[in-house]
Amino acid sequence: MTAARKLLPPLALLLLLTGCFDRLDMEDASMSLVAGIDVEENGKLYQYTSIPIFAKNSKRKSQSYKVQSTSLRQGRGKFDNYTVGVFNGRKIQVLVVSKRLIETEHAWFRFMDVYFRDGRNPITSHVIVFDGPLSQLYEYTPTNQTILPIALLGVVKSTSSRSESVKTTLQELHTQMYEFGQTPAVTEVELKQDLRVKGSALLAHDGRYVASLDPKESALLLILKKKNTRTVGFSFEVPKELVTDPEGSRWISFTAEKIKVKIRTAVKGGRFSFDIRVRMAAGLMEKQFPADIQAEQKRKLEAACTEYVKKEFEKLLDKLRENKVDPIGLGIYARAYHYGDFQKVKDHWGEAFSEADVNVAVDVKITDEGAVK
Amino acid sequence: MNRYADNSITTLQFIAIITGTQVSFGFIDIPYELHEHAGSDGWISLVIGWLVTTAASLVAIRLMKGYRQGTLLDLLAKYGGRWAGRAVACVLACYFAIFSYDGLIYSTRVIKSRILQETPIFITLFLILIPAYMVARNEVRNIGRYSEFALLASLWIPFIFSFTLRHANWLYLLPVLPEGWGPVFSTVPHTIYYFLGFFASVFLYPYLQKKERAGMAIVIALTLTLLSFLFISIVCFVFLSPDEFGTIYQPAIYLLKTVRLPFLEQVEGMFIVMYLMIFSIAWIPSLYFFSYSVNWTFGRTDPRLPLRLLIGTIIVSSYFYVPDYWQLIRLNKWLSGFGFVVEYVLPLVLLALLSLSKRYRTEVKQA
Amino acid sequence: MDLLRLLGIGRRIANTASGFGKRKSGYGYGSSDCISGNLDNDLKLMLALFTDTPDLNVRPLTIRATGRRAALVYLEGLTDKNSINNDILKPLLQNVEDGCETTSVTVGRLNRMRRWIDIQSAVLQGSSILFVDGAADAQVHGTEGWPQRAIEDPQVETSLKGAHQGFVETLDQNIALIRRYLPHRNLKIKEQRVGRRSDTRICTVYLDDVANMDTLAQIEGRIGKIDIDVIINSGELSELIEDDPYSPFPQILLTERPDTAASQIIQGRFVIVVDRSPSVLVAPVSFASFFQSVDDYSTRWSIATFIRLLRFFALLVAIFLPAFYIAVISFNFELIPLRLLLTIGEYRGIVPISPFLEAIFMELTLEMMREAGVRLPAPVGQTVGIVGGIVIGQAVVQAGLISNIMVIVVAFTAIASFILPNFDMVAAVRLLRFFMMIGAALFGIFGIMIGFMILIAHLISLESFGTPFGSPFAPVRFADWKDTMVRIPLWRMRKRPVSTKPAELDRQVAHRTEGEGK
Repeated sequence: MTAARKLLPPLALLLLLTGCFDRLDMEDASMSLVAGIDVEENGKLYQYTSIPIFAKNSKRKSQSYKVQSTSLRQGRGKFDNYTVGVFNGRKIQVLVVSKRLIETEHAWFRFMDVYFRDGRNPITSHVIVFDGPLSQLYEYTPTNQTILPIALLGVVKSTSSRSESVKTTLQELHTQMYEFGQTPAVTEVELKQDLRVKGSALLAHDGRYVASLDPKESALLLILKKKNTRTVGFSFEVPKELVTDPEGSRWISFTAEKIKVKIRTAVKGGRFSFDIRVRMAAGLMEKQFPADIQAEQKRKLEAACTEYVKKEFEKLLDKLRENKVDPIGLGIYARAYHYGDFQKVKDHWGEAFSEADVNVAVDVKITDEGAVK
Repeated sequence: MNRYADNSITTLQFIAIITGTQVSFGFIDIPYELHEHAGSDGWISLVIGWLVTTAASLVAIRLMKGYRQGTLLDLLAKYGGRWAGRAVACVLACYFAIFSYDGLIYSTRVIKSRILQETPIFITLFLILIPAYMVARNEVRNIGRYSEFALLASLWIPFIFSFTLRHANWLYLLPVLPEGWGPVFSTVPHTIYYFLGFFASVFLYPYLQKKERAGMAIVIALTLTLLSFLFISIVCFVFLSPDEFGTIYQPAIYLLKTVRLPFLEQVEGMFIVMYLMIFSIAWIPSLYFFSYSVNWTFGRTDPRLPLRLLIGTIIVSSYFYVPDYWQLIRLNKWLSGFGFVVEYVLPLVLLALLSLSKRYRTEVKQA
Repeated sequence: MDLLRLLGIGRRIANTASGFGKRKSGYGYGSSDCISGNLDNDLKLMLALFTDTPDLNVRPLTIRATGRRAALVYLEGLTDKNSINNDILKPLLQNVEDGCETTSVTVGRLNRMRRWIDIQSAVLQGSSILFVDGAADAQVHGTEGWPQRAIEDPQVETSLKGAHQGFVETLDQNIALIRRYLPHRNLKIKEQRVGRRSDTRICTVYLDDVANMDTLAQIEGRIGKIDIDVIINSGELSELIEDDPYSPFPQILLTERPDTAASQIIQGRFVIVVDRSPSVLVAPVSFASFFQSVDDYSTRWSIATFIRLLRFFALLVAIFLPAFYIAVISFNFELIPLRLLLTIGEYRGIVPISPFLEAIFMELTLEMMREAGVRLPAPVGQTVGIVGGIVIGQAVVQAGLISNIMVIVVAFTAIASFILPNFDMVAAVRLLRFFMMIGAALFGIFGIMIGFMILIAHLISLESFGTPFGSPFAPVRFADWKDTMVRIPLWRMRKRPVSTKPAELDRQVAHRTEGEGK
């Protein structure tokens, strides 16, 4: 029990062992914050990255690089040649793929493998489709002194809080790519004067780009995915018979709250059918015409809202079926309740979905009129 | 047998040692294993596995009830002679050495792949063996204290996992039993490996302060194990789509990668490191039981010498050779069989032999 | 070299010769030798014993009552002059009534001693000895009156609501201070003497119907085994009798507050009072004892609970924060959220030294400043703060040697260690912090965790006089949690802590029903 005997062997060995093998000081690391993959017209694959510069007096806060490579890991080696520090992806915030890449290169998801395989990389990075060449994005300097990743994250976060686009992290994309009963959807961003979220890009099972949803459709999609925690806004023109002055403005806006979605599945003659019931409470935001919202009038107004929302949902569902994609994940319901039937069609669920019956029933209740009559 | 009285452990410590040994790396691994064989119904196999194990553990306790003053080896020596005890002691020493080696390598592999990618494995191994040695050389009492502290200090784990529930899709659990009971039952043997460790009770029994509660304690321990396995399995099942499940090793860690706290991101790194405390209960008691068995064979009492030998061997050998992931899985499979024989079959056989010999003796007396 | 060694050895031989070895033979008397009864012989021997002792006063006199020759011997500074003049000399020289000299002396304590060894130690402890010609034993009067200070507010353990009396350097007064809180006949005191030269009185105070007698036997046994020349301070005694002297943790609580001591006795613990030392030892204690303070019991329980939790949080911060900072910056920066990372990076980017060196440099500076603050006289001490504030707080950062974040980390750590109530525990924490920093610098958060596990492995194996040091956390004793991380209302604390293994567990009978508390 003497101290020397207790402490000596470990200490001696520690001295032999020390080497700080994994040490990498933060400021020596070149942290890739936004990684991008693009394919150019010549068919060659390019990787982009944006790393922050840790120097107080430097004017530029981040630096972008571009290399040609066939795998991300190989690209990393090339980046190491360029950057000052040791290049790594342990803090990647945003993964950008160009629209051209996902249109031409179907199996682009395999490029993401490196992020899952290396245990230290995050899987919470946002996946974004950029409509345009990536060089455009990486040359862009945000106006308000922030760096690209912050600007990108900000724009994604603000639109997703307004439910105007899906927000897909790497992990969620992984789930959607592998899940038979669902097809992936990712945020779509474009650069017009400033960064702007265009909506959601719908992908087929294999990752191929299929269609885009505008912000309004994205909001509806999120409702059906039961993913929107925030409120969703609608505005439309009410039918003429509800308005005293049919020539005047007929616009009405409301925000939907407490949205409840119920999805029922059934199989009829080998075809799936889905009953979707959406109930929401509406709070009036704007009403550009005079109308007394009392008993009868209120019911009529609610019916008008219901009709409008229902139409919107139907339009969206038609669009999805037309494109044979199911970003809602109705296939998950199908598998849960009709396992045998689903197993038969699971390899081409998109097709099966496009043939399925989908009925939407909407119920809008106006609960809040606002501060004025 | 003053040795056991001086070193007595409380019921809670008894539970902590057994639960800790069982849970340790099962917590990380079991969702994958269950899903691989039984899909989202794996949790049913778990419950069946728990029932089987409870029965086996009660057999072990029943065996020990016949002899309160010593461990299983003392019992064997009394009824079957010194050499019967020695033979079993050798088998058990082997078993526990492999058990602890397996646990150590598993944890270092996890650390290697997630935390310290470039540090040589023998250094990691050496470091985690320092506290292990400090605890294991100090008899059962300190192992009990260590285990119960580790268990209490790990109560945050369910809370951190509850953050992942916002990604949960409970539909993944449906349908129940799509393929019938077949896969569920065929998975039960795979759960055996994760319940190994309750056998510690035959060594801990004489140290227990309140021996009449041993049966209850072991049932509680196994139930705790079951609950923690059920918890992590169901959390993983509702998080990961059944179709992507097969692509992800160690789903429990994968889940935590999605948790972002306001002051901490990628909490899985912190989790793995802090989980080391629970990991360590897998090998610390087994290291001790190894040295106990060896000492018992040679009639020594100081647990330090065999410990040093084993630990030294492990570290030195790891400098030259460490099993890779697939070899580790094969080792697990093999250990699972070995463990089944030692922990499930052996007590049953011994109990049968014991009652036979008792009956024989009384008959002889009567005649 | 040889000369030095010779000198050293020579000195050592001289030491042993004069100190330990010669005790019996060197002074011309043996331990059983008695006074002769012949005044001249005895005085001669007395003076031979105390050569070169100018403060030894021998006052020859003739007792008026009997007319016998006598001499009063005492050490000048250690005795109370008034008492000697008025209560001994005056009656002896003036009283005529009866023929016995003892009855006329008006001193409270009066013994008769025969053996030289006892007489010698009595003189050294401040008694005055009256040798009477022809008497076979000497009279020893309790005239102790050495220089001592008044009872003051405790200096180190200040409290807001506790008593303002602290222990002093006199054992009897200290025991009296404890007895004031516990005027009960079961308050027992075991006295032992330790130290060949210092002959220090050491008293173990306890309640004999509450405390565990096995523990008492251990304490007495360990004190009895000590064979040392001098014990100056109670801290020395604590190091001599604690269970694991290699541990960084104190296993015996030192307090200078009588109220703390009394409340520890009530909980079934033992208080060891060392003469000439203003702090007493409390044993057996557990890790959690070092986080309790008297004020916890006099403030409202909800506040006390909050402060307790704060202390344990501060403990974690004080041990792990700098290490965690190093680990996160040098190894695991993926743990930091992006914006924070960018902010830290901006400051780190200009610092030329590694985070570990940065942290070590700052921590050492802080430790030096703290040490300087303790030792320096108060007026100079203030300048330490100013120098520290300006040099560390501003100049170093502005020069770009240390990052701002590091300064914040170090400051936070320092504040955290200030709120821990026990000085010895803080010292342990300070030391541990450096080990954790080394672990973090080598292996990142993994290194910290290994450090933590080693710490736990060490703590659970520690014992304080046969009771587990890690209690009530490991071994878990839920019953004792009422007064560790939290402090439940006093009227619910019906039992004493189990960890001291008290003979009597119940402390109070519930006088409030469940509903009444609301």
